[in-house]
Amino acid sequence: MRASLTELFQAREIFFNLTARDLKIRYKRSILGVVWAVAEPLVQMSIYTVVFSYLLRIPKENYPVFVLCGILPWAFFSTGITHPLTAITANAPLVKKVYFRREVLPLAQISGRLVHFLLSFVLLFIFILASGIPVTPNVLFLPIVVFIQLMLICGIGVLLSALNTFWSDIGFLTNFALTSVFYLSPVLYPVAMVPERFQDFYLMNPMACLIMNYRRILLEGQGLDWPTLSYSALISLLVLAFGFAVFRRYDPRFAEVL
Amino acid sequence: MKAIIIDNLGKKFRVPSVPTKTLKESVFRLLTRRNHFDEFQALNELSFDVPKGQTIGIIGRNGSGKSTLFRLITRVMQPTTGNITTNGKVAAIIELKAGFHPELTGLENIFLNGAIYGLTRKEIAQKLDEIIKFADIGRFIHSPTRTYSSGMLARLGFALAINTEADILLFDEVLAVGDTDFQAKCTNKILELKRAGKTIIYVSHNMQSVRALCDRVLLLENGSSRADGSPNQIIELYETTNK
Repeated sequence: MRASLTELFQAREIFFNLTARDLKIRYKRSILGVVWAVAEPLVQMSIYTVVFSYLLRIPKENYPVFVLCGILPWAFFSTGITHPLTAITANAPLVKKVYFRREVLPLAQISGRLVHFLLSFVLLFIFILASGIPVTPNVLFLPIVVFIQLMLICGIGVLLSALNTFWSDIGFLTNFALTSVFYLSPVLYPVAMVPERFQDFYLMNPMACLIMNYRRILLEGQGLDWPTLSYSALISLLVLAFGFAVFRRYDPRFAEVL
Repeated sequence: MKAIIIDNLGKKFRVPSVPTKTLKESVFRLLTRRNHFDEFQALNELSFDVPKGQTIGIIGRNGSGKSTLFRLITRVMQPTTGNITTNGKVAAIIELKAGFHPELTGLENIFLNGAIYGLTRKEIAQKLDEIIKFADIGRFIHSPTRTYSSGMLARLGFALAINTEADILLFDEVLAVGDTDFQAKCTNKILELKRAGKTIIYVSHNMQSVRALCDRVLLLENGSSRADGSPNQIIELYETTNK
Protein backbone atom coordinates (compact mmCIF):
# COMPACT_ATOMS: atom_id res chain seq x y z
CA MET A 1 0.00 0.00 0.00
CA ARG A 2 2.73 2.39 1.06
CA ALA A 3 5.01 1.44 -1.85
CA SER A 4 2.05 1.88 -4.17
CA LEU A 5 1.42 5.41 -2.92
CA THR A 6 5.10 6.31 -3.22
CA GLU A 7 5.08 5.11 -6.80
CA LEU A 8 1.97 7.16 -7.50
CA PHE A 9 3.66 10.22 -6.02
CA GLN A 10 6.70 9.63 -8.24
CA ALA A 11 4.43 9.77 -11.26
CA ARG A 12 3.62 13.43 -10.55
CA GLU A 13 5.95 14.63 -13.30
CA ILE A 14 3.93 12.68 -15.88
CA PHE A 15 0.76 13.96 -14.27
CA PHE A 16 1.74 17.63 -14.61
CA ASN A 17 2.88 17.12 -18.18
CA LEU A 18 -0.32 15.34 -19.14
CA THR A 19 -2.42 18.06 -17.52
CA ALA A 20 -0.54 20.71 -19.47
CA ARG A 21 -0.97 18.65 -22.63
CA ASP A 22 -4.71 18.32 -22.08
CA LEU A 23 -5.15 22.06 -21.59
CA LYS A 24 -2.90 23.00 -24.49
CA ILE A 25 -4.48 20.64 -26.98
CA ARG A 26 -8.01 21.57 -26.04
CA TYR A 27 -7.47 25.14 -27.17
CA LYS A 28 -4.69 24.81 -29.70
CA ARG A 29 -6.87 24.84 -32.78
CA SER A 30 -9.52 27.24 -31.57
CA ILE A 31 -9.38 30.93 -32.28
CA LEU A 32 -11.18 32.03 -29.14
CA GLY A 33 -9.22 29.60 -26.96
CA VAL A 34 -9.84 29.98 -23.27
CA VAL A 35 -12.72 32.39 -23.95
CA TRP A 36 -14.80 29.26 -24.49
CA ALA A 37 -14.37 28.45 -20.81
CA VAL A 38 -16.35 31.61 -20.06
CA ALA A 39 -18.65 31.68 -23.06
CA GLU A 40 -20.24 28.30 -22.43
CA PRO A 41 -21.52 28.95 -18.88
CA LEU A 42 -22.61 32.46 -19.93
CA VAL A 43 -24.78 31.12 -22.72
CA GLN A 44 -26.22 28.45 -20.42
CA MET A 45 -26.89 31.05 -17.76
CA SER A 46 -28.79 33.23 -20.23
CA ILE A 47 -30.93 30.40 -21.54
CA TYR A 48 -31.75 29.02 -18.10
CA THR A 49 -32.64 32.51 -16.90
CA VAL A 50 -35.05 33.03 -19.78
CA VAL A 51 -36.66 29.61 -19.41
CA PHE A 52 -36.75 29.11 -15.67
CA SER A 53 -36.96 32.66 -14.34
CA TYR A 54 -39.11 34.42 -16.99
CA LEU A 55 -41.17 31.54 -18.36
CA LEU A 56 -41.45 29.09 -15.50
CA ARG A 57 -41.10 31.78 -12.82
CA ILE A 58 -38.94 30.05 -10.28
CA PRO A 59 -39.23 32.43 -7.32
CA LYS A 60 -35.63 33.39 -6.80
CA GLU A 61 -34.03 36.81 -6.78
CA ASN A 62 -30.87 37.33 -8.78
CA TYR A 63 -31.64 34.19 -10.73
CA PRO A 64 -28.74 34.59 -13.22
CA VAL A 65 -26.13 34.56 -10.42
CA PHE A 66 -28.05 31.87 -8.56
CA VAL A 67 -28.08 29.57 -11.58
CA LEU A 68 -24.48 30.34 -12.51
CA CYS A 69 -23.43 29.26 -9.02
CA GLY A 70 -25.04 25.90 -9.81
CA ILE A 71 -23.89 25.60 -13.43
CA LEU A 72 -20.18 25.93 -12.67
CA PRO A 73 -19.87 23.14 -10.04
CA TRP A 74 -22.16 21.00 -12.17
CA ALA A 75 -20.01 21.52 -15.27
CA PHE A 76 -16.96 20.56 -13.22
CA PHE A 77 -18.74 17.41 -12.07
CA SER A 78 -20.07 16.33 -15.46
CA THR A 79 -16.92 17.06 -17.49
CA GLY A 80 -14.79 15.78 -14.59
CA ILE A 81 -16.34 12.34 -14.93
CA THR A 82 -16.93 12.22 -18.69
CA HIS A 83 -13.48 13.39 -19.80
CA PRO A 84 -11.59 10.62 -17.98
CA LEU A 85 -13.85 7.97 -19.54
CA THR A 86 -11.57 7.58 -22.55
CA ALA A 87 -8.34 8.41 -20.71
CA ILE A 88 -7.01 4.86 -20.97
CA THR A 89 -8.34 3.93 -24.42
CA ALA A 90 -7.25 7.22 -26.01
CA ASN A 91 -3.72 6.63 -24.76
CA ALA A 92 -3.63 3.00 -25.84
CA PRO A 93 -0.26 3.28 -27.66
CA LEU A 94 1.32 4.61 -24.50
CA VAL A 95 -0.34 2.14 -22.16
CA LYS A 96 0.81 -0.75 -24.33
CA LYS A 97 4.39 0.41 -24.59
CA VAL A 98 5.59 2.12 -21.44
CA TYR A 99 5.03 1.32 -17.81
CA PHE A 100 3.87 4.13 -15.57
CA ARG A 101 1.07 4.48 -13.06
CA ARG A 102 -2.03 4.61 -15.24
CA GLU A 103 -4.02 6.48 -12.60
CA VAL A 104 -2.28 9.62 -13.86
CA LEU A 105 -4.19 9.41 -17.15
CA PRO A 106 -7.69 9.99 -15.70
CA LEU A 107 -6.31 12.20 -12.93
CA ALA A 108 -4.60 14.50 -15.43
CA GLN A 109 -7.92 14.90 -17.28
CA ILE A 110 -9.60 15.80 -14.01
CA SER A 111 -6.95 18.30 -13.02
CA GLY A 112 -7.37 19.99 -16.39
CA ARG A 113 -11.06 20.33 -15.55
CA LEU A 114 -10.17 21.67 -12.09
CA VAL A 115 -8.05 24.43 -13.60
CA HIS A 116 -10.95 25.24 -15.89
CA PHE A 117 -13.36 25.30 -12.94
CA LEU A 118 -11.18 27.57 -10.84
CA LEU A 119 -10.78 29.99 -13.76
CA SER A 120 -14.53 30.11 -14.19
CA PHE A 121 -14.85 31.38 -10.61
CA VAL A 122 -13.53 34.70 -11.88
CA LEU A 123 -16.69 34.96 -13.94
CA LEU A 124 -18.87 34.10 -10.94
CA PHE A 125 -17.19 36.70 -8.75
CA ILE A 126 -17.69 39.37 -11.40
CA PHE A 127 -21.41 38.58 -11.39
CA ILE A 128 -21.58 38.47 -7.60
CA LEU A 129 -19.98 41.90 -7.29
CA ALA A 130 -22.02 43.36 -10.15
CA SER A 131 -25.27 42.17 -8.57
CA GLY A 132 -24.36 43.82 -5.30
CA ILE A 133 -24.39 40.54 -3.35
CA PRO A 134 -22.24 41.10 -0.24
CA VAL A 135 -19.09 39.02 -0.07
CA THR A 136 -18.57 37.69 3.46
CA PRO A 137 -15.62 35.90 5.12
CA ASN A 138 -17.59 32.68 4.63
CA VAL A 139 -16.18 32.67 1.11
CA LEU A 140 -12.99 31.38 2.73
CA PHE A 141 -14.72 28.01 3.18
CA LEU A 142 -14.68 27.63 -0.60
CA PRO A 143 -11.52 25.46 -0.80
CA ILE A 144 -13.13 22.91 1.54
CA VAL A 145 -16.15 22.46 -0.71
CA VAL A 146 -13.99 22.36 -3.85
CA PHE A 147 -11.76 19.75 -2.23
CA ILE A 148 -14.66 17.47 -1.34
CA GLN A 149 -16.05 17.78 -4.85
CA LEU A 150 -12.61 17.00 -6.26
CA MET A 151 -12.42 13.78 -4.20
CA LEU A 152 -15.85 12.75 -5.44
CA ILE A 153 -14.90 13.43 -9.07
CA CYS A 154 -11.55 11.64 -8.77
CA GLY A 155 -13.24 8.57 -7.30
CA ILE A 156 -15.91 8.36 -9.99
CA GLY A 157 -13.56 9.42 -12.81
CA VAL A 158 -10.88 6.86 -11.98
CA LEU A 159 -13.50 4.14 -11.53
CA LEU A 160 -15.24 4.84 -14.85
CA SER A 161 -12.01 5.17 -16.81
CA ALA A 162 -11.08 1.63 -15.74
CA LEU A 163 -14.50 0.15 -16.47
CA ASN A 164 -14.92 1.97 -19.78
CA THR A 165 -11.72 0.34 -21.01
CA PHE A 166 -13.48 -3.01 -20.88
CA TRP A 167 -17.07 -2.06 -21.63
CA SER A 168 -17.76 0.95 -23.80
CA ASP A 169 -21.37 0.91 -22.55
CA ILE A 170 -20.13 2.62 -19.42
CA GLY A 171 -19.77 5.78 -21.48
CA PHE A 172 -23.39 5.70 -22.64
CA LEU A 173 -24.63 4.83 -19.17
CA THR A 174 -22.67 7.72 -17.69
CA ASN A 175 -24.19 10.26 -20.04
CA PHE A 176 -27.65 8.93 -19.33
CA ALA A 177 -27.08 8.98 -15.57
CA LEU A 178 -25.65 12.49 -15.69
CA THR A 179 -28.76 13.88 -17.38
CA SER A 180 -30.92 12.33 -14.65
CA VAL A 181 -28.76 13.50 -11.77
CA PHE A 182 -28.69 17.00 -13.29
CA TYR A 183 -32.43 17.39 -12.71
CA LEU A 184 -32.13 15.76 -9.29
CA SER A 185 -29.54 18.35 -8.26
CA PRO A 186 -30.36 21.93 -7.30
CA VAL A 187 -28.79 23.53 -10.36
CA LEU A 188 -31.91 25.22 -11.76
CA TYR A 189 -33.96 25.54 -8.59
CA PRO A 190 -33.26 26.01 -4.86
CA VAL A 191 -33.28 23.04 -2.49
CA ALA A 192 -36.05 24.84 -0.59
CA MET A 193 -38.47 24.08 -3.45
CA VAL A 194 -38.15 20.36 -2.81
CA PRO A 195 -41.08 19.26 -0.59
CA GLU A 196 -40.06 18.89 3.05
CA ARG A 197 -40.79 15.17 3.27
CA PHE A 198 -38.50 14.42 0.31
CA GLN A 199 -35.64 16.62 1.45
CA ASP A 200 -33.72 13.93 3.36
CA PHE A 201 -33.99 11.62 0.40
CA TYR A 202 -33.09 14.42 -2.02
CA LEU A 203 -29.96 15.30 -0.06
CA MET A 204 -28.61 11.76 -0.34
CA ASN A 205 -27.15 12.98 -3.62
CA PRO A 206 -23.74 14.37 -2.65
CA MET A 207 -23.82 16.82 -5.58
CA ALA A 208 -27.03 18.32 -4.14
CA CYS A 209 -25.25 18.84 -0.81
CA LEU A 210 -22.24 20.40 -2.47
CA ILE A 211 -24.16 22.82 -4.71
CA MET A 212 -26.24 23.85 -1.71
CA ASN A 213 -23.09 24.62 0.25
CA TYR A 214 -21.51 26.53 -2.63
CA ARG A 215 -24.56 28.80 -2.69
CA ARG A 216 -24.61 29.25 1.08
CA ILE A 217 -21.07 30.56 1.28
CA LEU A 218 -20.93 32.45 -2.02
CA LEU A 219 -24.39 33.98 -2.40
CA GLU A 220 -26.20 33.77 0.90
CA GLY A 221 -23.39 34.91 3.18
CA GLN A 222 -23.94 31.89 5.42
CA GLY A 223 -21.49 29.41 6.87
CA LEU A 224 -21.25 25.80 5.77
CA ASP A 225 -24.09 23.44 6.50
CA TRP A 226 -22.01 20.90 8.37
CA PRO A 227 -24.40 17.91 8.34
CA THR A 228 -24.76 17.86 4.54
CA LEU A 229 -21.12 18.80 4.04
CA SER A 230 -19.71 16.05 6.26
CA TYR A 231 -22.12 13.59 4.68
CA SER A 232 -20.87 14.48 1.19
CA ALA A 233 -17.25 14.32 2.43
CA LEU A 234 -17.82 10.82 3.76
CA ILE A 235 -19.46 9.63 0.55
CA SER A 236 -16.69 11.22 -1.54
CA LEU A 237 -14.01 9.52 0.51
CA LEU A 238 -15.70 6.14 0.15
CA VAL A 239 -16.15 6.63 -3.59
CA LEU A 240 -12.51 7.68 -3.86
CA ALA A 241 -11.26 4.57 -2.05
CA PHE A 242 -13.58 2.34 -4.06
CA GLY A 243 -12.61 3.95 -7.39
CA PHE A 244 -8.88 3.52 -6.79
CA ALA A 245 -9.31 -0.04 -5.54
CA VAL A 246 -11.25 -1.04 -8.66
CA PHE A 247 -8.73 0.71 -10.88
CA ARG A 248 -5.83 -1.16 -9.24
CA ARG A 249 -7.66 -4.41 -9.76
CA TYR A 250 -8.22 -3.88 -13.48
CA ASP A 251 -4.93 -2.10 -14.15
CA PRO A 252 -2.84 -5.21 -14.97
CA ARG A 253 -5.23 -6.12 -17.78
CA PHE A 254 -5.37 -2.76 -19.57
CA ALA A 255 -2.47 -3.53 -21.91
CA GLU A 256 -4.07 -6.87 -22.79
CA VAL A 257 -7.46 -5.59 -23.89
CA LEU A 258 -6.40 -2.46 -25.75
CA MET B 1 26.06 -9.12 -11.12
CA LYS B 2 22.90 -9.94 -13.03
CA ALA B 3 20.96 -7.14 -14.66
CA ILE B 4 17.94 -9.27 -15.48
CA ILE B 5 16.86 -12.57 -14.00
CA ILE B 6 13.98 -14.33 -15.69
CA ASP B 7 12.71 -17.25 -13.72
CA ASN B 8 10.23 -19.78 -15.06
CA LEU B 9 8.27 -17.08 -16.84
CA GLY B 10 4.88 -17.87 -18.29
CA LYS B 11 2.22 -15.71 -19.85
CA LYS B 12 -1.20 -16.98 -20.74
CA PHE B 13 -3.68 -14.81 -22.60
CA ARG B 14 -7.38 -15.33 -22.46
CA VAL B 15 -8.69 -14.71 -25.91
CA PRO B 16 -12.48 -14.55 -26.11
CA SER B 17 -13.59 -17.08 -28.71
CA VAL B 18 -16.23 -14.58 -29.75
CA PRO B 19 -15.19 -11.05 -28.88
CA THR B 20 -17.28 -9.40 -26.14
CA LYS B 21 -17.57 -5.75 -26.85
CA THR B 22 -20.50 -4.62 -24.81
CA LEU B 23 -21.75 -4.86 -21.27
CA LYS B 24 -24.93 -6.51 -22.51
CA GLU B 25 -22.96 -9.37 -23.98
CA SER B 26 -20.84 -9.70 -20.85
CA VAL B 27 -23.86 -9.81 -18.58
CA PHE B 28 -25.65 -12.20 -20.90
CA ARG B 29 -22.69 -14.53 -20.89
CA LEU B 30 -22.27 -14.28 -17.18
CA LEU B 31 -25.90 -15.22 -16.68
CA THR B 32 -25.89 -18.04 -19.17
CA ARG B 33 -22.43 -19.13 -17.99
CA ARG B 34 -21.28 -19.29 -21.53
CA ASN B 35 -18.10 -17.40 -20.97
CA HIS B 36 -15.92 -19.04 -23.56
CA PHE B 37 -12.28 -18.21 -23.68
CA ASP B 38 -9.55 -19.74 -25.70
CA GLU B 39 -6.29 -19.82 -23.88
CA PHE B 40 -3.11 -18.90 -25.58
CA GLN B 41 0.22 -19.62 -23.95
CA ALA B 42 2.43 -16.86 -25.30
CA LEU B 43 5.37 -17.70 -23.05
CA ASN B 44 6.07 -20.97 -21.33
CA GLU B 45 8.56 -21.78 -18.58
CA LEU B 46 11.13 -19.38 -19.90
CA SER B 47 14.23 -18.93 -17.75
CA PHE B 48 17.42 -17.06 -18.50
CA ASP B 49 19.49 -14.28 -17.04
CA VAL B 50 21.48 -11.45 -18.46
CA PRO B 51 24.70 -10.30 -16.78
CA LYS B 52 25.21 -6.59 -16.41
CA GLY B 53 26.76 -5.02 -19.50
CA GLN B 54 25.74 -7.78 -21.91
CA THR B 55 23.90 -7.19 -25.15
CA ILE B 56 21.49 -10.01 -25.82
CA GLY B 57 19.61 -10.43 -29.07
CA ILE B 58 16.17 -12.02 -29.03
CA ILE B 59 15.14 -13.59 -32.30
CA GLY B 60 12.33 -15.82 -33.43
CA ARG B 61 9.47 -15.98 -35.90
CA ASN B 62 6.36 -13.86 -35.59
CA GLY B 63 4.31 -15.10 -32.66
CA SER B 64 7.23 -16.75 -30.91
CA GLY B 65 6.73 -14.54 -27.84
CA LYS B 66 9.28 -11.78 -28.40
CA SER B 67 6.86 -8.92 -27.92
CA THR B 68 5.22 -10.53 -24.92
CA LEU B 69 8.61 -11.01 -23.29
CA PHE B 70 9.38 -7.41 -24.08
CA ARG B 71 6.18 -6.17 -22.47
CA LEU B 72 6.71 -8.29 -19.39
CA ILE B 73 10.23 -6.92 -18.87
CA THR B 74 8.97 -3.34 -19.22
CA ARG B 75 6.15 -4.18 -16.72
CA VAL B 76 3.46 -3.14 -19.17
CA MET B 77 1.96 -6.58 -18.63
CA GLN B 78 2.15 -8.93 -15.68
CA PRO B 79 3.30 -12.53 -15.94
CA THR B 80 0.86 -15.37 -15.28
CA THR B 81 3.59 -17.45 -13.66
CA GLY B 82 7.21 -16.92 -12.72
CA ASN B 83 9.20 -13.82 -11.94
CA ILE B 84 11.27 -11.12 -13.54
CA THR B 85 13.91 -9.33 -11.51
CA THR B 86 15.59 -6.28 -12.95
CA ASN B 87 18.46 -4.43 -11.32
CA GLY B 88 18.44 -0.85 -12.53
CA LYS B 89 16.21 1.46 -14.46
CA VAL B 90 14.57 0.02 -17.56
CA ALA B 91 13.76 2.02 -20.68
CA ALA B 92 12.18 0.60 -23.79
CA ILE B 93 12.73 2.06 -27.21
CA ILE B 94 9.82 0.83 -29.23
CA GLU B 95 7.65 2.16 -32.03
CA LEU B 96 9.05 5.50 -31.23
CA LYS B 97 6.03 7.63 -31.79
CA ALA B 98 3.79 5.87 -29.25
CA GLY B 99 3.92 8.69 -26.76
CA PHE B 100 4.04 11.63 -29.14
CA HIS B 101 1.00 13.78 -29.37
CA PRO B 102 0.59 15.10 -32.92
CA GLU B 103 -0.63 18.54 -31.85
CA LEU B 104 2.29 19.26 -29.54
CA THR B 105 5.61 20.58 -30.80
CA GLY B 106 8.73 18.45 -30.81
CA LEU B 107 9.98 20.33 -27.78
CA GLU B 108 6.75 19.86 -25.81
CA ASN B 109 6.76 16.20 -26.72
CA ILE B 110 10.31 15.81 -25.43
CA PHE B 111 9.22 17.03 -22.02
CA LEU B 112 6.05 14.96 -21.97
CA ASN B 113 7.81 11.78 -23.03
CA GLY B 114 10.80 12.45 -20.83
CA ALA B 115 8.42 12.49 -17.88
CA ILE B 116 6.90 9.22 -19.03
CA TYR B 117 10.41 7.75 -19.05
CA GLY B 118 10.74 8.96 -15.46
CA LEU B 119 12.90 12.05 -15.95
CA THR B 120 12.28 15.31 -14.14
CA ARG B 121 11.90 18.56 -15.99
CA LYS B 122 15.34 19.64 -14.86
CA GLU B 123 17.02 16.47 -16.09
CA ILE B 124 15.37 16.84 -19.48
CA ALA B 125 16.40 20.48 -19.72
CA GLN B 126 20.01 19.44 -19.14
CA LYS B 127 19.88 16.90 -21.94
CA LEU B 128 17.83 18.97 -24.30
CA ASP B 129 20.70 20.11 -26.50
CA GLU B 130 22.01 16.62 -26.89
CA ILE B 131 18.58 15.25 -27.75
CA ILE B 132 17.89 17.95 -30.33
CA LYS B 133 21.34 17.52 -31.82
CA PHE B 134 20.98 13.76 -32.20
CA ALA B 135 17.46 14.04 -33.61
CA ASP B 136 18.79 16.55 -36.15
CA ILE B 137 15.42 18.02 -37.07
CA GLY B 138 16.44 21.67 -37.09
CA ARG B 139 13.79 24.33 -36.70
CA PHE B 140 11.03 21.70 -36.85
CA ILE B 141 11.58 21.20 -33.12
CA HIS B 142 9.14 24.10 -32.63
CA SER B 143 6.49 22.68 -34.98
CA PRO B 144 3.72 20.23 -34.05
CA THR B 145 4.92 16.67 -34.54
CA ARG B 146 2.03 15.97 -36.94
CA THR B 147 4.07 17.92 -39.50
CA TYR B 148 7.03 15.55 -39.10
CA SER B 149 8.02 12.87 -41.55
CA SER B 150 8.15 9.37 -40.12
CA GLY B 151 11.93 9.50 -40.24
CA MET B 152 11.95 12.66 -38.16
CA LEU B 153 9.61 11.10 -35.60
CA ALA B 154 11.84 8.07 -35.37
CA ARG B 155 14.94 10.18 -34.89
CA LEU B 156 13.35 12.28 -32.17
CA GLY B 157 12.01 9.22 -30.35
CA PHE B 158 15.34 7.44 -30.50
CA ALA B 159 17.25 10.53 -29.41
CA LEU B 160 15.00 10.91 -26.40
CA ALA B 161 15.02 7.28 -25.37
CA ILE B 162 18.79 6.86 -25.39
CA ASN B 163 19.13 9.91 -23.18
CA THR B 164 17.00 8.54 -20.36
CA GLU B 165 19.93 7.34 -18.24
CA ALA B 166 18.50 3.85 -18.04
CA ASP B 167 20.73 0.94 -17.04
CA ILE B 168 18.78 -1.58 -19.05
CA LEU B 169 17.72 -0.64 -22.56
CA LEU B 170 15.28 -2.56 -24.70
CA PHE B 171 15.22 -2.07 -28.44
CA ASP B 172 12.47 -3.47 -30.63
CA GLU B 173 13.02 -3.19 -34.37
CA VAL B 174 14.34 0.35 -34.07
CA LEU B 175 16.48 0.07 -37.13
CA ALA B 176 13.53 -0.80 -39.31
CA VAL B 177 12.70 2.89 -39.63
CA GLY B 178 14.82 5.69 -40.93
CA ASP B 179 17.25 5.90 -43.79
CA THR B 180 20.69 4.33 -44.03
CA ASP B 181 22.34 7.34 -42.42
CA PHE B 182 20.05 7.19 -39.44
CA GLN B 183 20.48 3.45 -39.15
CA ALA B 184 24.24 3.85 -39.07
CA LYS B 185 23.91 6.59 -36.48
CA CYS B 186 21.72 4.37 -34.30
CA THR B 187 24.06 1.42 -34.62
CA ASN B 188 26.95 3.61 -33.54
CA LYS B 189 24.96 4.92 -30.62
CA ILE B 190 24.01 1.42 -29.49
CA LEU B 191 27.68 0.40 -29.66
CA GLU B 192 28.53 3.47 -27.62
CA LEU B 193 25.93 2.53 -25.00
CA LYS B 194 27.42 -0.96 -24.93
CA ARG B 195 30.85 0.44 -24.24
CA ALA B 196 29.33 2.56 -21.47
CA GLY B 197 28.37 -0.70 -19.75
CA LYS B 198 24.62 -0.67 -20.38
CA THR B 199 22.68 -3.89 -20.50
CA ILE B 200 20.84 -4.14 -23.79
CA ILE B 201 18.07 -6.37 -25.01
CA TYR B 202 17.80 -6.17 -28.76
CA VAL B 203 14.80 -7.62 -30.55
CA SER B 204 15.01 -7.74 -34.32
CA HIS B 205 14.38 -9.66 -37.49
CA ASN B 206 17.40 -8.07 -39.07
CA MET B 207 20.06 -10.76 -38.59
CA GLN B 208 22.82 -8.54 -39.88
CA SER B 209 22.29 -6.00 -37.12
CA VAL B 210 21.86 -8.73 -34.49
CA ARG B 211 25.21 -10.17 -35.53
CA ALA B 212 26.83 -6.75 -35.43
CA LEU B 213 25.53 -5.71 -32.03
CA CYS B 214 24.91 -8.71 -29.82
CA ASP B 215 27.20 -10.71 -27.55
CA ARG B 216 24.68 -13.47 -27.21
CA VAL B 217 21.46 -14.52 -28.91
CA LEU B 218 18.37 -16.24 -27.59
CA LEU B 219 16.10 -17.99 -30.06
CA LEU B 220 12.46 -18.17 -29.05
CA GLU B 221 10.06 -20.71 -30.44
CA ASN B 222 6.43 -21.06 -29.38
CA GLY B 223 7.09 -19.14 -26.21
CA SER B 224 10.04 -21.19 -25.05
CA SER B 225 13.76 -20.90 -25.41
CA ARG B 226 14.89 -23.08 -28.26
CA ALA B 227 18.56 -22.16 -28.25
CA ASP B 228 20.82 -19.75 -26.43
CA GLY B 229 24.42 -19.04 -27.38
CA SER B 230 26.83 -17.14 -29.58
CA PRO B 231 25.25 -14.98 -32.31
CA ASN B 232 26.77 -16.81 -35.30
CA GLN B 233 25.78 -20.24 -34.07
CA ILE B 234 22.18 -19.34 -33.12
CA ILE B 235 21.52 -17.24 -36.22
CA GLU B 236 22.74 -20.09 -38.40
CA LEU B 237 20.45 -22.50 -36.61
CA TYR B 238 17.53 -20.09 -37.03
CA GLU B 239 18.19 -19.49 -40.69
CA THR B 240 18.58 -23.16 -41.58
CA THR B 241 15.35 -24.18 -39.78
CA ASN B 242 13.49 -21.33 -41.37
CA LYS B 243 14.19 -22.34 -44.92
